[in-house]
Amino acid sequence: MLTRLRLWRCARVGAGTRVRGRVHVHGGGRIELGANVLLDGRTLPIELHAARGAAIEIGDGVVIEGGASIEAQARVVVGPGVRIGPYAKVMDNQFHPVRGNRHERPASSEVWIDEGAFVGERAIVLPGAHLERGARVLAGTVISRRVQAGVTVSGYPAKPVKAPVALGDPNVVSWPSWPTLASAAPATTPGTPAGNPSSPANRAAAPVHTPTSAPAVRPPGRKGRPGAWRALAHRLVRTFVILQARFYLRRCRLGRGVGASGPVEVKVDPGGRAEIGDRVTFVGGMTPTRIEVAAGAALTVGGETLFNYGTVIDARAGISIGRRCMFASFVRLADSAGGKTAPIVVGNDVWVAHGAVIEPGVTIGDGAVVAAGTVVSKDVPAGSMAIGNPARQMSLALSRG
Amino acid sequence: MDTRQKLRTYISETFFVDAYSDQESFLKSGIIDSTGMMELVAFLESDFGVKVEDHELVPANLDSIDNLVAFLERRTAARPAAAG
Repeated sequence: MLTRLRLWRCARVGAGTRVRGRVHVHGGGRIELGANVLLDGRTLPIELHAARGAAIEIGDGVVIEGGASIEAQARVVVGPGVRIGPYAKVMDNQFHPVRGNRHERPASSEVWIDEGAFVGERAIVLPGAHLERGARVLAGTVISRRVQAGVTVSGYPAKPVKAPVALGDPNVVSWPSWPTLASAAPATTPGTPAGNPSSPANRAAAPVHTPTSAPAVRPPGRKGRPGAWRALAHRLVRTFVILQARFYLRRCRLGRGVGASGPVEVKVDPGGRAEIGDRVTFVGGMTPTRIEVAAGAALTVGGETLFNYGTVIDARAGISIGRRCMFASFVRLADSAGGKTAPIVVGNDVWVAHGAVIEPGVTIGDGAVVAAGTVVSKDVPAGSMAIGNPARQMSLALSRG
Repeated sequence: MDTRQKLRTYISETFFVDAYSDQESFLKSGIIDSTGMMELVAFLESDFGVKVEDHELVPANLDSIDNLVAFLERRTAARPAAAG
C-alpha cells in the first residue's frame, strides 16, 4: 500500500513490487512497473523520468539500485529479471546535439534491455542501445548499440569480454542475493501488445536503431490558462529559484539572476573564493550539486552556465569555467586527485555530458564536448570531442549531429 | 580475407547492418554514432595493427568503407612493417 502511494505517478504497479529508500518519479509520461520489482534507493534516490508522450516499461522481477536513472523521451523497455546497478544511466535521448544549436533537442531512439540483462555500476546505456537477453554491460561501460544475447561487454570503447563471466548458461541470470525475487517472475513484459517484443524472435523483425517520432521539442504548455496567470506563476517560481540560490550559495559572490531549483551544498574555506556569474543555473534533482573551495583556491563560473544535479566541483588549486557551458548530471571536476594538484580550465560553450570526470590540470577549449562517461586527463582542443576512458580527442564532425 | 571484407564483417557483427554501400556515410545513415566510432577505432588498432592518432579521428578517414580502406592503405603503405 505504501509502495503504491510512493509510486502514485506510475500508470501500473505489479503485485509484490517494493520501494526501499527514495524514488523520484517525474515527467508526464507513462511508467509501468511489473510484479516483484525492487527499487532500492537507500543509498541514493532512483530516478524514473518519462517525458509527456514517452513511456518506461519495467518488467517483472527487475532490480534497480540507488543512484540509477532511467530517462525516456520516447520509450525505454526493461525486460523481466533485468538488474540495473548503482549510478547506472539509461536514456533514449542525448538531450543536446553535438553540433549546431545545443538548445534544440535531437531525435530519440528507443532503448531495449531484454530479459535477464545486466547493467553494471555507473554504466551508461545511450539512445539506440539494445541489450539482448542475458547481455551484460559491465561497470563503467558506455554503449549505444545492440549487444547480442549472452554477450558481455566492458570498457569505453566497449569490447566483448571473451572469457565467460557467469558460469553455466549465459542466458540464464539468477540473483541469489535477492532470494525473494528469484524465479518469481513470469516471462512477460508489461504493457506491450502483440506478445513479448523483447523476445529475440519478435525483436529481430524490428529494424535496428529505430528512430522514433518523439517530439523534438517540448510540446507547448497547457492551452486555455490565462496568460497573465502563467506569467505570474513563472515570476513566482523564478523568484523562488533566485532566493534559493542566494541562500544555498551565500558563501559565493553571485552575479545577477543566479538560480537554483534544488539544494546546492557549498563549502568555501576561509581564504577561498567562489564567483558565480550572471544567470548561472543549478538544476535540482535526485542528488544535490556539491561545491567545495579550499583556502587559497578560486572557483570562477562564467555567465549563463548550467549545472544539472549531482555535479561535484572540488577546487583546491583553482577551477575556471567559461560562459554558456552545460554540465550534465553527475559530472565531476576535481583539481586534486590521485596525488596530482593542478588547476582546471574550461572554456566557453563547453558541453560536458553525464557522468564525465575532468581530472586535475586539464584545459578544455571553447565549444568542446566531453561525451558521457568520459574520463578526461589530457587537454581537449577547442571544437573537438573528448570520448572514452581514457579519453581520446575526435572531430566533432565524427558524430551524428 | 581482404581489408574491405574484414571491415564489413566487423561492422555487421558489431552494429548489425549489412545493407549499405561502400560509399555510404555511417553517421548519416545512422549505422554508427560517436560511441561506435570509438569501438571501430579500437578494432582498427587491434586487428590492423595501426596506431590511429587523435587528429586522424575525422570523417574523411573513418566515415565509410571506402574512406576506411583508403585510410588503412595510406597507413600501411607509409609503414609496411606495421601492417597486421
